[in-house]
Amino acid sequence: MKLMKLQFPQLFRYFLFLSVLLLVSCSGGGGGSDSDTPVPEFVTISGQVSYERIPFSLVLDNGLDYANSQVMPARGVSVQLLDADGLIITVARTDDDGSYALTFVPSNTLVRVRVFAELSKTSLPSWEVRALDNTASNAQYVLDGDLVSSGIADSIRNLHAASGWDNSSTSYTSARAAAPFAVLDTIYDGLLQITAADNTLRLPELDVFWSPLNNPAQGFLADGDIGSSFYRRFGVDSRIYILGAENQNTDEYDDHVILHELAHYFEDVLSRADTIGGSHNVIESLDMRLAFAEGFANAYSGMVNNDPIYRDSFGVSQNEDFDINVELNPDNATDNTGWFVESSIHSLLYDFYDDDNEGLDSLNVGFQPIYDVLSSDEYADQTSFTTIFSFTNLFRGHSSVDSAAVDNLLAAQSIFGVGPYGSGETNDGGSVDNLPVYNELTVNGGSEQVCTGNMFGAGREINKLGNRQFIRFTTAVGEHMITVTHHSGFMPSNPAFVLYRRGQVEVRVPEPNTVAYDTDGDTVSDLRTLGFSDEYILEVFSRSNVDGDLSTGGDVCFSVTVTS
Amino acid sequence: MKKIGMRLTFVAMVLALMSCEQRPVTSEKLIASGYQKPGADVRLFGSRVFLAEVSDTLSVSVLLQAGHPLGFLSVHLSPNDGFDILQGKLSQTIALDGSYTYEIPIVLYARQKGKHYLPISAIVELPNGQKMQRSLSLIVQVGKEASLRKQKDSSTKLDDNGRLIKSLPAVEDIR
Repeated sequence: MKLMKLQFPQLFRYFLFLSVLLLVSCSGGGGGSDSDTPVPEFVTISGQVSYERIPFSLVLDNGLDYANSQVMPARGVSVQLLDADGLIITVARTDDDGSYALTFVPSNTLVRVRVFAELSKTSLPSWEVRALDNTASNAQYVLDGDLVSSGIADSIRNLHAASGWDNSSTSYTSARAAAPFAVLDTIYDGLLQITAADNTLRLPELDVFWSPLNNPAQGFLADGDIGSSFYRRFGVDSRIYILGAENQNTDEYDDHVILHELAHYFEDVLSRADTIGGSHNVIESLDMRLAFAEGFANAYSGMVNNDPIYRDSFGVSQNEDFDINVELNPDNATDNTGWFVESSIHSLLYDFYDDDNEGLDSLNVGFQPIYDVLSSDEYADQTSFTTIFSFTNLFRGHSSVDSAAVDNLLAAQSIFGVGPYGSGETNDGGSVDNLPVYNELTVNGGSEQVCTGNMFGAGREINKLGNRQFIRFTTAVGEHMITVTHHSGFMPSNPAFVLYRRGQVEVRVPEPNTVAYDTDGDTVSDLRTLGFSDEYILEVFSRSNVDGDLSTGGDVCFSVTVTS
Repeated sequence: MKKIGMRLTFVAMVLALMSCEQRPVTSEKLIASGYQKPGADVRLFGSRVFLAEVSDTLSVSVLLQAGHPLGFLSVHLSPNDGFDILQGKLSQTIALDGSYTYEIPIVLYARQKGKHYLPISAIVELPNGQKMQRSLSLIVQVGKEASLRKQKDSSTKLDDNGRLIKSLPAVEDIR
């Protein structure tokens, strides 16, 4: 066999060729060390959630200032990371900067960040507040990012909810994504304030309904015909409804309006509120229970952010507003003042709270004593109604409170009664029929006469001073006959009464929404067994004075007896 | 039979709407007064729902009950896509004189089917200069169709937990 003899130049070429082959196969295409770095199994996605807030104009009456919108952090809201199928990978919650971090996110996976318009905290103090759309089957609002790969390194995803406003057309031209987050962020301030007074609170769930269709018509809530922004309990559900009708009335950026309604929620779930609700304004003569509840709500709205100017926007492009200064004390020489006036109540409560001592105001106790009284067992269990009388009766006794200073402020608002029943009150609001604040009756002791009318308040009926009168009586367990009969005044007088024990309704006679309620007459009565030896309160009125129809009703007196 | 059933349903709906003004109702769908925000004590009195067919001319009395005995009441009506206001003032100022009830007669022309609204802004200025406002609205039902505004909304879906959600678009910045 003959060996192939290679010449040296040929050998060199073969060697060179083999070397090049070896170099190319070992390089990895871009730098020899990268092909050795493992892809991380997980990455972190973090970021900030924000929303656009529209402030009020610095000039009163000029409504919202869209030209100076602000980017605000969405605090305390829930964040989810979803895969391409919508399955939840992990969750987080934003902090007070609106920042969140989602860890252990699978790398190189299509994911989406979803922010829920909800405030959810399970450790004490705890709360659960959701922003829902009552015109879309109560769907919960969420803010959705895009479906994008998580990549192989930590990344940042900032999500912003825009207002939807277009400055050039001065109208909303796109989704009003910011609105539910603005509402929640205002509520967040309220939650922080109330839980600073009690960090062991476990607040019941609260649903807040907002929609751009929520308008001032009254009708079906599912259509957005909510009438006004309001709070109400529906069974066991606590709900706030907020107006959102562009060019009519929007409240999503009116923080005092939202906090006013939140105050009603707090009264309802943490305290006790005997108010009968309804339409009201700050200067008229109201049912004393309504005056206190609304006065507290106004004052509270100012306490949360230390801003006593309540503003409510309305009008075309939301370019108008009206304001209420809860720091301003009505002048008892020229203004309507008293235990039945909302502005008297809110100015008193705000003066108790704030440290801006002017005039007779020498109190600056902050929110804690006010909360302590409202949340106390004594307040919740009182036999009297929740009024300025019952509040100040306990407030005076608080260790932080100078009772003489309280009395000075009360007197300046023409409130002179003492004790939970306002005993000795001399301000009758314009009619002797309004005093005493509570009449008294002895069981089996003959009749008590009370007179009602429709001469007070802006609308004069339904929930105004004098529409209803109150009678206290104490009795033992057993069967009782309560009778209310026409004594004098117009006929048919259509009497009615509600029997209360410590704020709870025992019976309404006649029952509303029944044939009996709509039947004219001059006597109503009820025979029932009262199950407690206790004090009861009768609320007596003419149905013709609470129906909102000024063509009926007027001055009428009733004789009331309770026999056992 | 189906048409009769639909007609009956429509009539029942309208009757239910009209009953709102007569007495408080306890149905969850209808609002009771609740704890409302403060504002001018001005209410609608009388009918709040008006029925019409397309091309109808409708005489409407807007009855306002203004509880303030003195001051001035400024009333602004806002036109709507569904109807034209043929007669009547869109804006006027009324001197309050203790009458409490004020009538604003208007004539509407129904142009478009659907549930429409006549927004009313009532601003009260009291003798001491204080100003308060209340937004109100009448409903004008033209034909049987539901509100056009609501019909356009279809952005709800179920999430992974079976919750009904309404998705809002985020302005997202990814780095």
